Formats: sequence, C-alpha cells, structure tokens
Amino acid sequence: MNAIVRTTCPYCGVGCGVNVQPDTDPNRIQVSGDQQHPANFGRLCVKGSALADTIGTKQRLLYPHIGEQRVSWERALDETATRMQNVIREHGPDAVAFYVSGQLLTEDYYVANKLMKGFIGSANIDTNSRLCMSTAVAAHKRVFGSDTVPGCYEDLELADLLVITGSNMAWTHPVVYQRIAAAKAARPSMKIVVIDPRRTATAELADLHLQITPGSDGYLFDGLLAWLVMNLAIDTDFILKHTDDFVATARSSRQRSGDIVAVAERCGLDEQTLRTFYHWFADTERTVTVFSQGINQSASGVDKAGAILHCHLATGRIGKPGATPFSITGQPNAMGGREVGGLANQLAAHMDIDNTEQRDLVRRFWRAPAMATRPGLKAVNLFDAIADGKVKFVWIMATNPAVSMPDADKVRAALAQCETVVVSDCVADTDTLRLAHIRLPAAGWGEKDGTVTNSERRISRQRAFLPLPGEALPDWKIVTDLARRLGHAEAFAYTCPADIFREHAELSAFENSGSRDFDLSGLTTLSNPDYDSLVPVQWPVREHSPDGTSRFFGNGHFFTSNRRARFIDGAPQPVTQQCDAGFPLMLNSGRIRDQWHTMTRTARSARLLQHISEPFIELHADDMAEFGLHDDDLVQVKSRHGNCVVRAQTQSGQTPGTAFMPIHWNDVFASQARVDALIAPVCDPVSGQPAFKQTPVAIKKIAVRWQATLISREAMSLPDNRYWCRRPSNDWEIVSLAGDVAITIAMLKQIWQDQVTDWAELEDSHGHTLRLVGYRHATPVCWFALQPERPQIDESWLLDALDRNDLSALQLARGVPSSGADCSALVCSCHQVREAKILSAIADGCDSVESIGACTRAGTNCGSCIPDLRRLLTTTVPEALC
Amino acid sequence: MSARLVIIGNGMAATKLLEELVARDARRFAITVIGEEAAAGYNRIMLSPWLAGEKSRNELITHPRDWYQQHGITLLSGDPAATIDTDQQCVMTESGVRIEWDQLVIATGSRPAMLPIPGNRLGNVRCFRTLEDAQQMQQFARRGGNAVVIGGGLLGLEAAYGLNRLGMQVSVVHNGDWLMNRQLDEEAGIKLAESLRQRGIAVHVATNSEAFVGNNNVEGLQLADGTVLPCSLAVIGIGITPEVSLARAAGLQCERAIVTDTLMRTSVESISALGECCQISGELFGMIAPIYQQARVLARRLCREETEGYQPEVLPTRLKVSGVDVFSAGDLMALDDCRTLVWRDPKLGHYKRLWLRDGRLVAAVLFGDASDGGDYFDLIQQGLRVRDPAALLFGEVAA
Repeated sequence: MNAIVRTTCPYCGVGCGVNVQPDTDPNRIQVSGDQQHPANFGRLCVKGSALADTIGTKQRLLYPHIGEQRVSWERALDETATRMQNVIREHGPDAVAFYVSGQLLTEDYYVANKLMKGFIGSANIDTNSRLCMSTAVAAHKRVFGSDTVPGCYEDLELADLLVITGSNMAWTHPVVYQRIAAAKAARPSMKIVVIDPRRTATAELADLHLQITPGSDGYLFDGLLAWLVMNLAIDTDFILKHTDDFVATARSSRQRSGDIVAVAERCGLDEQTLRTFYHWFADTERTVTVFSQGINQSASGVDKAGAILHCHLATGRIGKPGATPFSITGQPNAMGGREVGGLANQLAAHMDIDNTEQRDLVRRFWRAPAMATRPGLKAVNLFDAIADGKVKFVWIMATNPAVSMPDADKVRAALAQCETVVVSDCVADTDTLRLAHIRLPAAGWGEKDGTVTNSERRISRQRAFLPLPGEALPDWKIVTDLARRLGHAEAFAYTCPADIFREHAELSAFENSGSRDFDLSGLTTLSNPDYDSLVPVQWPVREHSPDGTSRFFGNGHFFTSNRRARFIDGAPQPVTQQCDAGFPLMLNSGRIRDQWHTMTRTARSARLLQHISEPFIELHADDMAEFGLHDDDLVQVKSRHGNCVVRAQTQSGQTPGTAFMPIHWNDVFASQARVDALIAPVCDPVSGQPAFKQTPVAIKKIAVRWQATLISREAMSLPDNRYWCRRPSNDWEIVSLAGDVAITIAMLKQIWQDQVTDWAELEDSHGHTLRLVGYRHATPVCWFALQPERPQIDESWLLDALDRNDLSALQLARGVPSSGADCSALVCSCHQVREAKILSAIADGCDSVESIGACTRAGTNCGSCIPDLRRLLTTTVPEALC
Repeated sequence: MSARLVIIGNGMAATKLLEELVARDARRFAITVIGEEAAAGYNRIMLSPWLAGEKSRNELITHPRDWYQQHGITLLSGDPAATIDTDQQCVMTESGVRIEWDQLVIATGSRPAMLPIPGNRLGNVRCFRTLEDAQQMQQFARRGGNAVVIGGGLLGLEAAYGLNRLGMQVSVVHNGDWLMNRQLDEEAGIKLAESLRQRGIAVHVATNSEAFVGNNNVEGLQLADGTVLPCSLAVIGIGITPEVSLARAAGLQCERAIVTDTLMRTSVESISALGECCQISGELFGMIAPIYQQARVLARRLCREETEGYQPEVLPTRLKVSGVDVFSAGDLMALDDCRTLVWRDPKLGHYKRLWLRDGRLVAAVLFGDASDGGDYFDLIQQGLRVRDPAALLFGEVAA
C-alpha cells in the first residue's frame, strides 16, 4: 500500500486539501478530503469527490503535434520558437501573445509571465482570470492600493451577519458554503443575507433573500453607504485615521442614493425588505460581505466591488475577525496568477507595470534584457487584435477561449485566421485545440508538482502521484524549454518547480521591507525537501510571521503611497444592454453544481453528468407559458451576437423576464450550446472584465419531429445535427438527439454499417417509434431509440445490461427493466440517490436533511445536494400531514 | 317414453354435443348416433401430431365405444346415413336401417376440398382428413421416397411436417403468394418457408398445380411452368367443403352449407345442424372453438335451457408444428389502413408484427416466440386503446 499523497483540488478557488491513495491501477486510486487542510478540514464537494474518475490517459493529448502530424518535442518547440521569432522580427514583440489560465500552477504561471514581460519585451500575456477576478483586483488596488484580500474563511464562520452577493456558492464553492451552513447550525443567531436575482440553492440558507433586478447591486450598496452615513452608523475614528476622500464620496452617495424608496424601486425590492437589510448591516459589527462573479462580471463591476469595500471601510469592518469584505475567486489558482502578475496590466509579485521604479526593480531582479514598458492587451482586446491581424502568434495554455470568451464565435473566427495558434492542454479535444496549428501535451492534475493559492491567500502544494502520460510535460518545463530556444537559457535554468518557487519568493521579498502586501520573504530559502513538505500557509510569510498571516488592514496600513485607503466615488451604472421587444429576456450565465468550466475534465466522470446531463435555459413558469414551452422543449436562444439550442426548464428561482444558462457546454459536447456566443464583448472600462451576467435574449421553440437517444461503445456519426448532446459514460458514449429529417432504419443501418454486424430492430409504419440494438458479432455495441418525445430509459440499468450482455435484444430495446424503473432526477451524485426515492422517504416521515440521509444516504458524502434536499423538504408535504 | 334424438355424424361436433347433453340429463333423450367412420369418437386435431409420431393412438381416441354404452347412447358406425325423410321424421342408412326421430341433428362436418385437376383419381393421391387417411399416410411413409403436399395452409403444412418426420422427401406446393397467406403477413410467411426448408421440406409458393402424372399410382405433380415434382404420394390439403348432400336432398335450405340460425335451427322445425356443415349469417366454421360453442348452444336449446345463441368470435391461430412457433390473431385480410409495429431479431429468429387501428390492437402475428400470443388475443378481443404501442411490442400488454 503506497503512502497517502496530500495535494490540492484543481477546481474552484476554495482550494481544498485532497488525500490521494495512489495505486498502480488508476481505477483503484481513491481520493478523500484532507482533515488537516485549513480550507476544508476533510470536506470535499461532489466534483472533488469524483476526481479519481477524471484521471487516466483516455482522451488525453499525449504527444506534440504540428497540424495533424505527430512530432517530437524538439521539432514542436523548434517550430514554435521559429514562428515566434519570425513574427517578432517582422512585427515586433507586441505581435505575439500568451493567453494563459487560472488552472496553471504558480510556477508555470511565473515562468510564462517572466518570459513574456521580461525577455520577449511585451506585456501581451493575459489570462482567463480576466474573465472572473480582474474586477476584484482592480477594485482592491484602487481602494487598498494593493490586490489584497483582507480576510479569511474563518471570518465567514465568525460573522454575525454574512452577506453573500453575486455568488451561488452552494454550487460554485460548496465546501465554504458547507462551513457556513455548519456555523449557522451551531449558532442560529448568525444571519445570512443572499443578494441574487435568482433564488439559488445558496438562498436556501438565507434569513433574507434580496431578489434584486439583474445588475442593480451597485445601487444597493451605494444606497447602503448613503443610509449608513445618514444614520450615523459609521466608524468615524477608522475613517479619519485610515482613509481618504470619504466626505466627497459620502456626499455624492447621499445625493444620488439617499432616498431608500427610490433605491428599493431601482433594485426591484420592497422598501421594508431593503430597510431590514440596511438595519442588519448597520447594527452588526461582525459583518462579512462575500462577493464573486455577480459583482465582478459587470460593465461597472469595479465600482460595484468598490461600493462594497466602501461600506466596510466606512464601518471599519475590515480585516477583523468576522468583519471584512471578502472576494471569493473562481479558479484554483486565480490568486497565484495575480501574485505572479499573470494579467496584462500587472507586472509581477503584485507590482505595477505602469510604475517605473517597480519596473526597474523587476528588471534588475530578472536581469531582463527586454522589459515590457506598458500594459499589454486584456483578453477581449487581445482577441480583437488577433482578429485584426495585429497579433499574429498566440500561445494558449490550459484554457478554452473559443468557448469561454464573450462573443465566442468572433473569438473562434479570430483564431481560425491567426497565423500561428499554439495550444498546450492536457486533453485531446477542445473547441480551441481544434483551431491550433501546434498542439503541446501538458501534464494534468496528479501528474505535476507546484503550488496554488486559494481565495484566502493560502498557498498549498499540488503534488504528483501519477507518472507523466505519453510525452506530456509540466507547463513550466514546456515554457522554459521554449525560453532556451529563444536564447534565454540562463534566466530559465530551472531544474524543478522548487527552483521557480524560490525565485518567485525572492522577487516578492526583493526591496520590499513591508512596502508591498505580497511578501514571501519567509520562504525564500526553502530547500527542495521543505518545498515538497510545505504545509498550507497564508501569505504574507515574513521572518516575524513564518506561519503566515490571516488578515490585513485591521488597523489600517494600506498599501497606497500614504498607507490610507481611498474612497473612489463612482456612480452606479445601469446594465449596458437593456431588453427590448426583440430581445425580451435578461439572460444570466453561470456554473452548475457538478461541472467545471468547459467540461474537459468533469465530463470524464459519468456520475458528474447525471445531476444535469444536457445544456438548458431556465425560465419562470410565466415565461414558459408565454412562449408556449414545456419542460425539455428544445428552444433557440438568440442574442444580438449569437445563437444557442438548448432545453427549456421551468425554474421557480427565476423572476419573470429573466433566464439562466450554464457556461459549460461547447462544441465537443453539444451541437450549439456555447452560452458565451450570446454574450456581448462589453467590459468594465477599468478592469477589462466582460459583463457575462446580463444579456438580452430572445427565445423560440424549435419544432422537431423526433427525439432520440444513442448509446454506443465508440462515437458514431449522427443522422441529423439539429440538436445533439453527447456525454461519455465509462465505456459508453450517450448522445441525446433531436431533428426533423425523416429517419428510416435502412438509413441508420447504412451509416453505421462499419461498426455493427447484426441488428435487432423495431420498425413503425408511421415512423413514430424506432429502436435498434446493434451487435458487433455477439457483443452489443450500439443502442438507439427514436420517438416523438424524449425516450425514457433507465440509464444505469441499460448500461449495466449492455455490459453484461445477458438479456435478449428485445429486453434491451425496452430501455427499462420489466419491473418498472426510476427515471427521476438524480439528486445525490455520490450515492446515486434519485428524487423519487427521496420523496418517498419524505412521505414516509423523513422531516430533515439528516433523517433523509439516514434513510437514503443522500447528502451524506459531499453534501453538495443538501440544498436540493432542503428544497424537496420544503416543497413536499408528507402524506401523514395531508 | 323419452324423446328420440338422432345425430347424423360422429365427429368432434357430435361428440361435444353428446357430452353437453349427458352432462345435463342423459335420460331425457333416447340418443342414436350414425357415424360414417368405423372408429368411435376421436380428436381430429390430434391427427397431425399423431401422424408426426408425437402422439399415440390412445391419446387420439376421445370416446371409445363403451363410453356410448355407459351413457345409453346407440352408436351405428360404418353405416352412413343415406336419406332423411322430413315428413316421416326418419333417417334411412345405406344398409337400409330406418331410424325415427323427434329431433334430428345434422353434424356431417365437411369433406376435404378436391383439387379439380387431371389425375386426381390416381392411386396414392390422398386427402388428409380422417384417421384412416392418417393411418394410410403413415404406413405409406415408412417406405420413404418423395411426397408432394398441395396446399400451404395449416392442414397442408401439418401433413407435410408429419410426412417429413416420418422420413419422406416432402415438397409443399402452394398457390398463395406465401405460406398461410390467410393467417400470416408476407414477411412471416417467408420466414415460415425458410424454417421449413431448414427442416428439409421444399416449398413452392405462388405455384399452381397442373396435373398429377402417373399410370395407376401417382408418379409426379406437374406444375404450371411444366416442371414435374416426382412423388410416390400426393396429399391434398387445400381446405374443406361442407358435407351437405343429405340435407340438400332432404330439401333443407342450403347455401355454401346448411343455413342455420344462431340457435342452430335449420329451415325445418325439428332439424338442427352444427359444425362444419352449418352456416350462420353467411359464416362457415373450421375451427374447433366455435363448433364447441355451437354444441353448447344446441344442447341448452334441446334441453329447454335459456341461451342467447351463438356469438361469432375472432380466433387466434397457432401452427401446431413443433419447433416452429407461429401465432396469428385478427383478420389479416383487412388491415390496409393500419399502423404496424414490427420487431425483428434475426439472431434469435424472432419476428413480431402488430396492427393498430386508431390506437387499438386489431391483429398480431408472432414468429419464433409466440409466448405473448394469448395476451395479444385478449387485447384484440377487449378492443382497448393502447397507450404505448412500442411497449406493447415489448410485451407490456397490460399497458
């Protein structure tokens, strides 16, 4: 039995510690929460629990390719270097760019940033963190003078009032949410306010849910500041000692947002509800405001985040136990990326590219021959520049911009006509890889070593427990190998991640002496063994605080020139794109519980695709009725920028006139479900972060003649592309299809003849129903059902039966076992508990999440479904009470 | 003294009627049965399996002579009735016996349809109808050689299978486009032909027979295209014609058969008819179930019990050829406007076809696995709307 490997989860910004029990057989590797890790204390969410499903070499990019040609690393990197140098020679360094990712480890990130900003001489390196955290970064820097998260997770538990705004953390940061739930259970007096235009799973825990008009949160917090001022609920002492420009800001806030009635109206709230919130905020010393994408992904996000920071500065509630603003990050290493300066407008180690001294400092430290002198292109501008042919070479690392960028069709087109697109990734197929001229195989989670920093500034190690598959290499190695080819061998002579980390730490300490927040001076002399055994630690780590630092700013000492925080007056803005007759619905976008980003890894886990298995748009029942829709109807969603085809779902959490779509699906998994193709490339003018949250759309039902399910061992060509959505399930691929072209058995047998030797079939003279069971010699390899409505099948039973191959074709063709099956929604992915079972448990008298757990095991592992269980409990009346 | 009841015929219709009467009141009538065949009552349906060697002779005999004695029934066998005198109310047998009646029942059944082509009187050209036919075929078959069976319906195929089992080289010649074309759709008919061929039975469909060739005994069957199928035995199994000569001669109203009402009354007050020789509202009968129903109706009437009369019904067909499981229900002659659902599993050799008219099951053909046949038959009878036709095909008949 191998020793446990302690590592860190590669998904959200919570940064949970994961214990891995390695095994030579990848299928026997087990993961569990690390009891000692201060982020999760042993908890894991459903995605983390399923990590073992996502490893392995299936559908991995294992070898370098130029075009379709497999080549050696030498060849691939020589080609990359040559193309890069040619572009630089002819068009200058700003004609090349890196687009990197919050999925990279800090060490990978550091070398990529160093190469571009210090040695190529351009700042054209931006990152997908631009899409999620750049607004928080900009707000922090404007107000605090540094990109500093003042608090820590513990504050969320210590708070007497917790304000959660713009975050469905029950799904996006489940473990932090569970810590909060536990704290509230232990201390019911703790109040929770959820601010969200949707009633999400997170709101299940709320004492007060402010279901605001989409995009009106700026007015809410500006109004809060005004109200606090007018009601003298402010900490004058703190304001006078530690801040500037309060008076001017307070005055304009009062002038524009002093009328609570007007604010309530603006936010679509009734005055009393708003008053309650303002009172609670005013009266509760220990108040924490957690904010995330709902605030950040906005055309005026920096002002919104600023408004939140203002309210905490004005009340002196910052960096104190249970009292602080807290930006929670989306990605596992968004923070690490910010620390190394991965954004085009940053430099390194939280230093500014616009700051001459800091530029000089970094130049000297790096001994950089070609320091970038001005900020590079932010993501949206970067891809525009590619479209315009200004940037002719781009290297995309560990991210999928053809899916995740706003106006994604334009981004795809830009890459399609870019001179050179290099993509390094750990999987074989993504929308972006399909556009690459050079594909470089990167190591994935469990295969690479390095550090990540979570939302509370905690640096944790990711540790390898698997061999590198095929010829895959860690990203830092790929970058440094390229740097050597570009003639910078000496500056990139790293032999291991620890070398890079030490340099990163040294840079943070270099001429710092407390002048900069990001300071790892206590880690500069870390030996390789120390690095390997590094325990999770919150920066800054200085000589006098070797075990890290939980909080900032409790007693001022901000990082502006005069060490005082700045109030920055910014008037709340209406959403840039308004609904009109042509586009009557306001579309919101976000994550679902069981998927991550563009599904490159989470879709490798069958169970993670059972909770929600197809792309959808959620609408209020009134709108469903207005557009003549029923659940699961296929609809075309149209914006001024693009189209999607997804299934409509009634969602009581939506308000009339609003809609929600997940961000995950893309061309690898569905026919037309890239929500970002709908989204306008409108950005916050300061942070450059796109406004993903409010997009006016139109919706139209799509008439299809049939819907079908195809289950096959290998991918098979589809008879109609009107709508399809595929998902792997262990040895099988499951495709949901719909279309209008008439399908005949003969047609299907013809297109599938190469894969199937014998057929059993159900034929309908009216063409309504059609079933096929295909065998390759004696083994079932394909199962197909077509009918006017979606075929109802008991998937787990059918897949199992197909594997066992001990039933007749007729029994298989039924799709359900003779003894009726449970096709209801899967609620608990961990224990595979479906809604019907839970409802019957409730009917049998289970009246609490705990009793349901005891009776069905639902919610007893990762707990991610507990909000769903609560919903079922509240929406179901036990028969006993009827 | 009790009323005199005379029954002409001792086939399955007659014996069933006797049972029904006996079960009620054996002594109410003085019963006389006039049987043409030498044997006592036997199960004609069992002839095929018996011929195929799957049943013993004892299993065939349903009513041995002493059964008649036990119940005080007079059985004249081997002395066929010659005339009926409706005025005198008596029957004359060929040997001249005169039997008077108060109630007469005609149960003369049917004769095999004769094939009106040259040579049909040659030796070893037989029909397959009676126990004697079967016995002779069986003896003959022991010599082996080639046999031709004309007729690809139930009767013909059963004969063909029997002879095949007895070791003859059998060819089936059928003028329909596919075997059992009244009970099966074309696809099932073709599959049936395949499975018979696999058993070594040659099948010629859509083929007319021109003539039997040979001197004294048949030596071959000449087909429409001139080819001659050599054979030492030819069996005609193309159907039956109701035996109504006595009735007609006696002046009873006859059309294709003796015209009878639903209480089995003929045009003459004291004369009843049932079975293959009767005709009710234009319909003839060949299957056993309706004939048994007629026997019950008639028994009740004769015993002066309440009866609402004979109710016509659709009947399923099962081909009694072991190894080939074939089932058919519903009228396949009138299905043009129907929705059909087919299941094909070539690996198992299974085939199912269902016909639905405005959501109701109206016909079903099963081949290879007929286990659901009974359920489908019931569903056709009930005429209920089917919620999920596909599920129905999957055997969820309780849909």
